Amino acid sequence: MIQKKICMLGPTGVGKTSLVKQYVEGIFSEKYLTSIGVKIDKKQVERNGSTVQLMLWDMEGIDRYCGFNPRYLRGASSFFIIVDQTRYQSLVEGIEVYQLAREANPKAHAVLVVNKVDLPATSHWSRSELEPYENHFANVFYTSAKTGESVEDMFEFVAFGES
Amino acid sequence: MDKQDAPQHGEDDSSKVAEASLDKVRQLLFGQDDRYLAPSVDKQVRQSVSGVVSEALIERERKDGSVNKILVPLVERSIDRSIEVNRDKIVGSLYPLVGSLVRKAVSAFLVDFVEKTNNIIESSFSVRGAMWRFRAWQAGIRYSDYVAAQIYQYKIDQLLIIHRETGTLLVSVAADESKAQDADLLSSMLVAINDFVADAITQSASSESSLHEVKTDAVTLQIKVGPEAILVAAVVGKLPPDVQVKLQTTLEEFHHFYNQPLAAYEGDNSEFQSAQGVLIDCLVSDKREAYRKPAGWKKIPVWLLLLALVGFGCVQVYQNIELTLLTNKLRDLDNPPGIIVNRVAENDGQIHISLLRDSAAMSATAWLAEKGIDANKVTISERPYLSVEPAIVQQKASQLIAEIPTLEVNLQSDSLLLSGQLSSQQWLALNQSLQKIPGIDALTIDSRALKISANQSLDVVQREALIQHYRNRITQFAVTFEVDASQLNATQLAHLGDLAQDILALQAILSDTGSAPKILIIGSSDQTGVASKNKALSAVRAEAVKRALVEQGVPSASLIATGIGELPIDNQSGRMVLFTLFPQSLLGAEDVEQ
Ligand SMILES: Nc1nc2c(ncn2[C@@H]2O[C@H](COP(=O)(O)OP(=O)(O)OP(=O)(O)O)[C@@H](O)[C@H]2O)c(=O)[nH]1
Ligand SMILES: [Mg+2]
Repeated sequence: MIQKKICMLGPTGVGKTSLVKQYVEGIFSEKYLTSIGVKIDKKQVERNGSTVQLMLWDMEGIDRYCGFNPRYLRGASSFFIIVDQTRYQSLVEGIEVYQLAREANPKAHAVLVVNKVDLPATSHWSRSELEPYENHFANVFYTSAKTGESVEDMFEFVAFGES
Repeated sequence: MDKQDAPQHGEDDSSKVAEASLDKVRQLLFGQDDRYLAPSVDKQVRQSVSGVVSEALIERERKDGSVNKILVPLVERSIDRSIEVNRDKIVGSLYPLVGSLVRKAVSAFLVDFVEKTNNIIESSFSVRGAMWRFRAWQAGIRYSDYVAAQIYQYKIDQLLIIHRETGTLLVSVAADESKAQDADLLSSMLVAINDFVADAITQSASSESSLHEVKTDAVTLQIKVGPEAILVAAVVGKLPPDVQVKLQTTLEEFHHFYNQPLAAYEGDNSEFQSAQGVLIDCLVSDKREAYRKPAGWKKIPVWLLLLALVGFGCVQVYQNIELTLLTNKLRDLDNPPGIIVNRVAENDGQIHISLLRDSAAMSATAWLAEKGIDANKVTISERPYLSVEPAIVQQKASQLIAEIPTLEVNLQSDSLLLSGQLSSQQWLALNQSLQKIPGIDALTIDSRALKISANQSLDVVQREALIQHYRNRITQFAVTFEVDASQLNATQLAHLGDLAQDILALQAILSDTGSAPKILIIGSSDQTGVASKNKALSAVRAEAVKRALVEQGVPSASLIATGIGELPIDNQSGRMVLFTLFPQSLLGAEDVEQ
């Protein structure tokens, strides 16, 4: 069986844990419990008879106060940079996180995830804002951990790539 | 040569002239600047130097030590550079060599440790000590060896080899697959912890520290870290030095054999499955009966010492490991009848299970206990629901039946066999409560072996209810037949047995009125074929049913069988026998008058 290590990265509170929970357990909670350290979950994805097991490393949010352990990115096949469309600042921070992650792991695929699309976007935010960064990422997904929108898609993308 | 080249002081002109002409000859012979000579001299020099270079170096080094001064920094610099450039390659190729040295050191340490322990044990006098001493003497081996054999009681339950970089599982084997921990998750988590330890403990030092042992309540994880892969053994008890060495060797061999696939690893672990054979050899155990003192194990300070190395931060992480493994185990459990697990979640270091439970199902804690899960680690929130699973329906029915001490019940896969004795009143009440159990329809309640005695003390309302009950049962009964058939098969006979019981019960209730109820047995046929023949066939059917009822003890006088021929219904299903009660014999004039 093929196994892939996938890292969930991004500023705090953008919904990294919620996305994993929605994907693995199919549930969503409004309650916010900030993550500490790293929590690992797994899920098998099947397509055309081939199975890939994703090992999902949900990391604590990265911000000014909380550094980032580059070892956690070792051997990752892809990493998600997750940002929150209700907070413009999270995009700025997300790009910083992307740069750190890219330094730690130059080989992994990077995928941008704009989360919480069930909520209205902040007024500063427009999708064209992302354009300058888009060519750094293998793909961009607009998701909601609450409604489940595009959640399967983003994980299937890292499991099987484009199709 | 020096002498020839350097002219002597105070020589005359003639020698200068000779010198000049000699130069000329030299030029002619060897060319300008010794052009013709140089190549062949070079070659000669090389030959003669190479003959003496080692000796010359040694001699010079002996003389003034200058060779070392020049060479050492040079060599050092180039080694540094090549290590810098080829670090992984060099570590990889040195690993098997270094491994064996480390092994030696480790076993030396352990042997030393054992020796010391033995000294302590040896010097302390105890009854057990004396006994062991005697046994060792009896067996003709050294006391300390005997003690070691007694102490190392262990079992390797599971072995994993994990890809160090990605934390994914390459290959695993387990002594008992059903008890094996979730190897995939365990692998990733151990590597994450390892990363954490490397980050938390070695920020200043240049080398990475890593875990060697993780202790949970039940098992110890022995961890051997290699350059590309990590070997983890889940151990119960304490591994003796030779097994430790065996694990280390296995990891080294793994590196050796899977050198290529390890270097090219992209997440596909199928290539490593062939290592299972080698790993299975490591699933060793040694269970000694002689020394059994489970509480004592936890007091042996070795693992405390090792655990202390790991530090507090990790202890919490281990608890997390246990939690996550437990959560996954819970998710994989099969639900017992009457319990549906909705959700297993981990929150704030606690596992929460929310489930639906039928009141007749086993309690959730009992279920967890049965599965070997410590209920204290889990909070359970349960909501009631009604299960129609056969096992639960049966359970509920037999609970009701058990309330009547004179009854016995025999559980079959989809039926309940009742026997014993009860009053018709009790039987009615029991029947009513049984009918209230959801899903009871799927269960056959076989009451043929039941003796129902008439109860004189019925009040009017109860009596009427009871009469109504049996009346309904009798008139709702029907026997159907195949085309042209009038024979009764075994199932039909069995059902007719039930009917006979009902008729007898009704007769018993009505016996006090002096009027035995009469039952009309009506045979019919479908509309195909000759009408006269059908009429005869329907009568034969009714007679067959009557005979069966009489055989079950119903007085022949109370049964009237008749055939009505073709039933005017569209479909072909008119082939049956129906039952009805004569109205005049039911709640007859006699009753009303009283
Ligand atoms: N409406 C909405 N809320 C969301 C969504 N995703 C996450 N949230 C909420 O946002 C909060 C933070 O979510 P988490 O998943 O814990 O965020 P995180 O990125 O893991 O946070 P850290 O672990 O602290 O870094 C929670 O209250 C979630 O309920 C979403 O798609 N829509
Ligand atoms: Mg989180």
